[in-house]
Amino acid sequence: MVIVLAAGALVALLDARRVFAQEEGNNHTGKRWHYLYKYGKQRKNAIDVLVLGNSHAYTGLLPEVLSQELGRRSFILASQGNRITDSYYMLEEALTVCHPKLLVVETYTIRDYRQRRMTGVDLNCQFQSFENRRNPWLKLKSTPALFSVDNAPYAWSQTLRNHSYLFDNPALVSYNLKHPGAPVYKDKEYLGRFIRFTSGLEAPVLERYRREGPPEDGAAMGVGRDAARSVRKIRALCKKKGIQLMFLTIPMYHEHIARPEALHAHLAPVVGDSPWLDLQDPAYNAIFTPDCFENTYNANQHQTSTGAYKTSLLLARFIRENRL
Amino acid sequence: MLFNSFSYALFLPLVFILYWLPLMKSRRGEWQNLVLLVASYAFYGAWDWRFALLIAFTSLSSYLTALRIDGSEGAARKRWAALNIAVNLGILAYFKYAGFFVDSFVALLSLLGWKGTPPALHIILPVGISFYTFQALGYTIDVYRGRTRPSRNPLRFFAFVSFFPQLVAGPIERAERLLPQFDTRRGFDYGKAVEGLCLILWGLSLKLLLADRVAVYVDAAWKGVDGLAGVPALLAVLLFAVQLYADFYAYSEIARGSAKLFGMELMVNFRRPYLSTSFKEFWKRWHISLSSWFGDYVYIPLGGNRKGAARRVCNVFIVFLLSGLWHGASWTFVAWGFLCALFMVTLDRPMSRINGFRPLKITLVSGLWALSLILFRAPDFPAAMKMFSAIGFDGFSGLPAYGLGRTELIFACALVLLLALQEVLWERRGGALAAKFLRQPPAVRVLCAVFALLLLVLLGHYGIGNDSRFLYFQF
Repeated sequence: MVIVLAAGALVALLDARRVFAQEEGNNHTGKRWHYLYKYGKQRKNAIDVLVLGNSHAYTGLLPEVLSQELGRRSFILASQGNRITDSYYMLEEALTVCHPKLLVVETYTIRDYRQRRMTGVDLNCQFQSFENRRNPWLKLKSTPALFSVDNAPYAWSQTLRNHSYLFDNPALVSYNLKHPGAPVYKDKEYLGRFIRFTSGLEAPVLERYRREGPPEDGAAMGVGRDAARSVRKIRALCKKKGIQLMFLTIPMYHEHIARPEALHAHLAPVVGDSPWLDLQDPAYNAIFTPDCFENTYNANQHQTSTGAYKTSLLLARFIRENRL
Repeated sequence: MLFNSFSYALFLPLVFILYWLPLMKSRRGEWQNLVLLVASYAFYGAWDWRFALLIAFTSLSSYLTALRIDGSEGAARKRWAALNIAVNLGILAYFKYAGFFVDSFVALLSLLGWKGTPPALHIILPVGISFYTFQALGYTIDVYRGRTRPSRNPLRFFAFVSFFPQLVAGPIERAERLLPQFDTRRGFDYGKAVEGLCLILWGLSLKLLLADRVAVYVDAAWKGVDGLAGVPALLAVLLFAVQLYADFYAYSEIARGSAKLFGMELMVNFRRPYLSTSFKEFWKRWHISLSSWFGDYVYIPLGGNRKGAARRVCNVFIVFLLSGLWHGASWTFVAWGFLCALFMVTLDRPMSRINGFRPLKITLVSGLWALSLILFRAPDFPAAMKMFSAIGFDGFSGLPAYGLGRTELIFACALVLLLALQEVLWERRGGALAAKFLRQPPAVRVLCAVFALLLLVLLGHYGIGNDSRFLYFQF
């Protein structure tokens, strides 16, 4: 017992000193939590519109535009590869520091998955999201729901997760040893956006759509039990806290996804009677221009800054028209 | 549930606490047996709950037939024993060899000109089926021979067959050794528990520091066997011999250590096999529980070496061909068994006539063993042939690290040398070294253990979603 505790304490020390921390350069999830807590400290109702989602949300929306259009501060709390189960726990923590009036849930997080059986990239994304959360008690509470017994220790310890840096990336270990402590964020204001794509679809990909058809099929994008349960929990939490809930589907290029109506049909029962802006609907044809979408044929297509701008305007109009 | 998983790190202490609950004292240790039985079925069922049904059936059939054997005489006794052997081997044949037999039969038919599609069999291979089937078989044969009294208490017997530390990869225990340990209440022995923890730590070190690390190189080299040549191929072959040993030895030590935590003793399965000077000696040191099982239940009943040289050679080949088949349902394993037998019958005699040259003999035995393992590791014969022909002594300067960084490969090789040194030291002064360590003040021992654990945490080859199974699980 003493031996295990002593070894555990040493691992905890290494974790505290962030010896095996990943490169912080691109950790925008950590940055989001930092600013959310900062705004929350300023005043509880500093954020009016909170957007939950994954990379689709932080590349597909411009919170500055949304804030300006609505006259209410909007914030994107999203993490790469996030699923709605994790979004629920992020929301739970976020509500301890802020009290938004409107919660926007981006629907790309609502998929068919088994949360505790995640592997590979999905699991890595889950670790990153979990690591950046700040409330230890809420993290502990959510651990059994987010991770299997075998993965939980990795979620809590960078040392267990990244100790292979000793061989793979010794330069980073040595950098971390020289720069212990949490990263410093210098922006005056940050609302959670992260623009990755500035140029749109180009001829070869457009040609490929014509040649091979859409890489995604709405009919195959079902909603699993775990996702449906998490949406129910989010709905209940919003009801309890008096927060208006709405859903948003940020689109992919219309030739990127076959049978969007099937995707709509999958999501409809989960969304229920909550307001829902489904921008994948072909009726929103103004948004389906090549300059709005990431130049990729890969399944997971994001928006460019132009697309994000258009989406933000459409979302703002939807919120205004529905008086949300 | 793997020994090197966090779930086992939770499972083991939980079972330990329940097992030693002071309030639950029963005179004959029935509480302890019940805890072990439930824990073992939970452990095995964690892979697939249907596996638990299978082991329950094997246990039940062996339990009932042993009672029948004991209660009958003459031909009836023989019939009951034969029935049990048929049932156990039938289960093994169905789950492990059905696909192999069908494929081989179809291949034979196609040689004769038949053109057709073989039926697709969807049979899951239950983890460790060969191990517990052999353990149950050994029990009924021992009862038949009158070497063991049949167990009349189903709880004890079921706990014996399914005892989780050795359930999925041995050691294959004999009833006369292990079964009596379930008959009495075990008292807690602090020294034994500490010894058990040391064995677990040692096993984990072998697995995580060495076996899984060299596995990266070996797997990558085998994956790219088409482009492999020279020293990298030689290194892949040698490192696989290290991997197999470290992996299986690790499992056996963790199994022994876990058993000791419950006051139970399991047999030693490895005794520094790579220091053997003959193949006969090698098989007395490698996977001892299986070698002695084949010796007792196959080789000796066939006549052993009592019926002349020709019969001895024949018996050796039978045993090794069966041993090859036991390891896997594939012709490469059969060929591996054949090669092992060939080494034993052709090389042992000439080597025994030469006095001295111990290091040379050790190198020859271990080197030929490593070469034979090409057949053990290869997915098929063409891949094995490619590996055999790729081995050489050129291309050392541009040695690719195959999945490991260069530093990590050097580290792995350094660990191999350390293990070799430890084996030599242990061979010469094993007991003395252990006693010297145990004589140190507790603080020194604790510090050593903390250091070892930390080394394991920082330098161990483990990671997210790591499903690094022990190699012998597949058998």
